[in-house]
Amino acid sequence: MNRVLSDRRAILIFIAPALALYTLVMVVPIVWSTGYTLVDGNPISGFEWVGFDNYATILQDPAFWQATGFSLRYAALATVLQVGAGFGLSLLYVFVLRRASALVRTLVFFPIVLPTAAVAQLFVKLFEIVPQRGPVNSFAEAFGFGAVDWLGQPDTAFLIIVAMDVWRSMGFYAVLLYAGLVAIPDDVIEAARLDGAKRWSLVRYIVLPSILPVLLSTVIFSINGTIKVFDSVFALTGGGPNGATTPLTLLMFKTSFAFGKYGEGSTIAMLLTIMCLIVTVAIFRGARRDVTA
Amino acid sequence: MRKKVAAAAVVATLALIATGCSGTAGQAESDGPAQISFLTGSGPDQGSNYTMQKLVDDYGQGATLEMEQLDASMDQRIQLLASQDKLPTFFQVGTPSQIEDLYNNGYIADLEPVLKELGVYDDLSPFSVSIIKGLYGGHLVGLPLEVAVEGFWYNKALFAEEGIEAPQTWDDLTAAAEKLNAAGVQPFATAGAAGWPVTRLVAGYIERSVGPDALSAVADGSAKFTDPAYVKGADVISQWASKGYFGEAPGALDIQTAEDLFLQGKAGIYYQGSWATSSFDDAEKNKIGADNIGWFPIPAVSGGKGDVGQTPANVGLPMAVNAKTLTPQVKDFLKYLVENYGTVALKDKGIISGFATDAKASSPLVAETADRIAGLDQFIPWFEALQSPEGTSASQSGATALISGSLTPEAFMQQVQAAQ
Repeated sequence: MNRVLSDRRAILIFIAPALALYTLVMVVPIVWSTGYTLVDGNPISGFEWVGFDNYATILQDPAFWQATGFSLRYAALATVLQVGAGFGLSLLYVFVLRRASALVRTLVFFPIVLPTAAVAQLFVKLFEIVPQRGPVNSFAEAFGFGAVDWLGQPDTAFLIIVAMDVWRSMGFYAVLLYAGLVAIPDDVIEAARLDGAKRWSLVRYIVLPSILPVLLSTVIFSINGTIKVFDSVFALTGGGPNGATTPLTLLMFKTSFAFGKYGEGSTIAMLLTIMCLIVTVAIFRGARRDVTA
Repeated sequence: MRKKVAAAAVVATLALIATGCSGTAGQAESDGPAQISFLTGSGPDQGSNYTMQKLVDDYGQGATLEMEQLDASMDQRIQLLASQDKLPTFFQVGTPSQIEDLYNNGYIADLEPVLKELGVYDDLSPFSVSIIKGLYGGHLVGLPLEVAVEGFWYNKALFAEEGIEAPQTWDDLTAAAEKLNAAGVQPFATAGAAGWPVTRLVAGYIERSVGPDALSAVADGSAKFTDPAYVKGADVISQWASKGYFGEAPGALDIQTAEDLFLQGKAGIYYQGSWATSSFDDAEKNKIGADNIGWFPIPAVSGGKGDVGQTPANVGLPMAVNAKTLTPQVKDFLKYLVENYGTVALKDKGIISGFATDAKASSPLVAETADRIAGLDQFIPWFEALQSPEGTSASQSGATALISGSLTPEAFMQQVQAAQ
C-alpha cells in the first residue's frame, strides 16, 4: 500500500481523471473568461481586441460601484444574520431542546430545499400592496400604520431580500453549527458548570473557542454564497427599483447577455472573483492563529 | 503491466469524455422532407405557436416541426444559439438591435429577394413592410406575423356615467382622468412594473408635440432626450402620477394585473396595442363586455407638430429566417406560409398579420382594428424602438421609478440619454 501511494506515477494516474475533469470544467473557462476581458463583442457580432479598455470603462461606471456597494453590504449583513441566527438556533438545539430538537431542526432546515423562485414568489405575495394588500400590509393597516410598497423602494427591498435569504438559510447554518456543538465533550461542559459558569460565560469561554474552526468555515461559506447572490434577487426584485438592488452577478448577467457585451461582462466577473479572493484570504489570514494545525 | 493497463484505461476514458463533449452540429439536409424548427414567443395553442403547427400539419409532404417556446429571455437564447450555430429555421426576435446584428453578420436572410423569387412578395401589406424596414435597418429581415396599432381603449359605460366624451386633445384627456379620479375610479390601468406601458405614454405626448420624427431625431443624434420639449413629455406623465391617476402604487402593478383592472371595470382607460383584443374577446377575462370597449387614438397636443392620424404600430415579434438553413424545401414551405399564414391566424385566432388574406374576423373588435390598420400608411415608433438594449433597459426601469415618483422627469430623461 505504502509502495503504491509513495510512487509518484501511481498517484498521478489515480488523480488524473478527476484533475482532467476539474481543469476542463473549472480552469479552462476561467482562462477563457480572462481572455474575454481583453476583447469586446459577442458571438453574433464577433470580437475585437481592446486591451485593458474594458477595465477602465467598468471602473469608471457608476453602475458598477453601486452594484459593488450593494453586493458588499448584502454579503456583510446577510452573513452576520445568517450565521448569528444559525448559531443561536444551534445553541437552542443543544442546550434547551436537546432530544426534542430533531423535529424543530428539520422544520427550520426545510426552506433551503425549496426552489428560490418559489420562495421569492411567496415573499412577493407576502409584501404585496396592489391589487390587494398582502398579509404584512394588512397587519400594518390593522395596527394603524399605512400600507407600504415594500419592494418598490430601495431600502425596504434590500431588507426584504436579506430577510428572505436569512429565513431560507438559517436552518442550514444551524445544522452545521449543531454538528460542531455536539462534538464538544460533555465532561468539559460539566466541568465548566461545576466551576460556576452560567449561560453567557459558558458560550463565551467554552463553546465559542471549541467550535471556532467550524464557525470560521461557516462564515467563509456564507460570505462566498452571499457575495455571489443571484437567483434570490433576480426572482424577487429583478434588480430592484431602477437598479437599486442589483448585485454584481446580476449586473454581469445583464451586461453580457442582455446588452451583448461579453468583454465588459467578463471584466465584472473578474473583478468579482478578485473581491471574493481578497475576502477569503483576509479571513484565512486573520484566523490562522486560531485554527490549530 | 498493471500500470500500462491502468494508463490505457485512463486515456480511453478521457477520449470518450472528449468525444462526448464535442457535439454534432445539426446540419440542414439538402434533400428529403422539410425539417422546420421554430422558436416562438407565443404560449401553447396561441398566436404563432398554434398557427405554425397548423400550417405544417396542413402543408403535409412529410414536413416535421420542432418548436421551442419562450416568452422571456429570448434575446439571450438567440444569442446562445447563434454562438453555437444552432439557430432554428425560423425564429421570432424581440429586440431591433439584435435583429440588425443578426442580419449584418449573415445569420438571417433579407427576405425581399427571397420572396420576390418565390413570387409572394405582394402578399405582404406595404404598411407592414414599411414598419419592418423602418424599424430594423432598412431591409425586410422578418415577416409580420402580427400587425398591431396602439391607442387608448376605454370603458364606454364608465365614460357615459361620468359624462365624458372620447378625448380629442391632451387637455381633454387630463380632464377626463380628473373626472374619473374624482368619482373614485382609477383613471388609467398602466403596468408601472413593466416600464414600457409608461414610456408609451411619454412617447405619445412627445410624438404629438415635437412631431412624428421626434424619436428618430434622437436616434441619429440631432436631438436629445434631455431637450426641454422631450422632458415635457415625462413631466406630464409624472404629474398624472402625483395626482394619483395611476392608482396607489403604480410601480408595483404588473401587465396582467393592469389588464384585469380594466377588464373588471376598476379602471377607465387602458393604453394598449390591438393585440389586447384577444383578451377582450375572452369572456372569462372580460367582465365588462366586449361591446363596452371603445378606442380613441393618442390625442393632439395644442400647438404640437404631430397629427392624430399618426399611430404607433409594430409587427409584434417578427419572424426571422435562418440564412444558413434556407434550403429549397424550406423555401417551398416559406412560400406556403406567406400564402396562408394570414388566413389561419385571422380565422382561428383573430390575429391581424401583415399577410394578405380574404378572411374576415368574426370578432367586431378585431374587424374594427383591421379596418383601422388598412387605412394607415404612416407609423410612428415606440419609445425604445430605435434604442440599444442599454437604452431600453434604462428607459424601462427608469419609467417605473418615474411613475413611482422616485425619479424626477429631468433625472429620468438624463438616465435615458446617458444610456444612448
